[in-house]
Amino acid sequence: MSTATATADAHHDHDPHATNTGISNNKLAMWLFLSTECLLFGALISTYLLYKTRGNGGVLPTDIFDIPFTSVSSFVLLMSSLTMVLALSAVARGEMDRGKAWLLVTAMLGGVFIGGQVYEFTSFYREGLGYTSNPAASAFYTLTGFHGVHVSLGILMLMSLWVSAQQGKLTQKNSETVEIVGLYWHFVDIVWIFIFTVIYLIPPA
Amino acid sequence: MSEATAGTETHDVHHPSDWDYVKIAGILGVLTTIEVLTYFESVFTFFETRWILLTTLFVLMIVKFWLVARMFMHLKQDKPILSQSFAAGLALATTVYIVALLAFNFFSA
Repeated sequence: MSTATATADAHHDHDPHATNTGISNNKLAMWLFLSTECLLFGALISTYLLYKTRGNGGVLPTDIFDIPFTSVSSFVLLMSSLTMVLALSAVARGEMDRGKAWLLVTAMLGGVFIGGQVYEFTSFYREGLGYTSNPAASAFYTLTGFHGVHVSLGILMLMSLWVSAQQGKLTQKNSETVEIVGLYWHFVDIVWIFIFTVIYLIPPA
Repeated sequence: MSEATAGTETHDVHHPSDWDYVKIAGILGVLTTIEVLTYFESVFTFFETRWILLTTLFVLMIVKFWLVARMFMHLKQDKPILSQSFAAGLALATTVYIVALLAFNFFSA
């Protein structure tokens, strides 16, 4: 590539730190991280599938699933992806007040999802499904718990973005930070799309 | 791809408007509603047939996954290397764990 073309590319991309791929290292790193996360969640989902009928004579997660309740939680998480992308869109346009509002709404929807998960775990425990009750319970709590931890970390990232925006540190110029956090948030949503279908909706054979 | 093409390929992308995102979210909501309806087999009796149920659920799941990754995560507009790196991880995970499930006779159970 000629020097003139390379300079033009860097100018068009508005990236003062041009890379060979034309993508910022932070964004590429996030995508590679998400790629490895597929292996983590793949392991947890497979483990649950292998153990889901091993209740050792006790109650199984599939016996006490509350599908209508979990459906509402799933819908809330799905809509948080919309508010996340609206936050990014607003920040990229320089509409910081609107961007901050959408970031806050996204974090709140994430909080509602986590609240629902806490309620679900509590009600399951009251029905006799503890973490060590049987292999099916352990696999279920580990999988959904890991996902919940990911959502919680996402909420922390969203709140730190909101604080940065409040302090004037987050501007239109560094909207890529919002995009990178958004990628993580959407990935967490994608994983739940998979968990909701495979774990909750497909009934035992 | 020529150098000239490579230099311009990222500039012709059309970024969706906020209204486009709302429409995509609406589609996702409708797909989720259909998924949840499969739970009520007593009302929608054709979902009692297992292959119809499984096919419906897997198709809906894949469409939702594709919509979020392509539109909300901007894979449609971003450089192909990002789609490729994510697809590589996804394909590796899918292969590894299908082989693991086969090894434990999951599909014959």
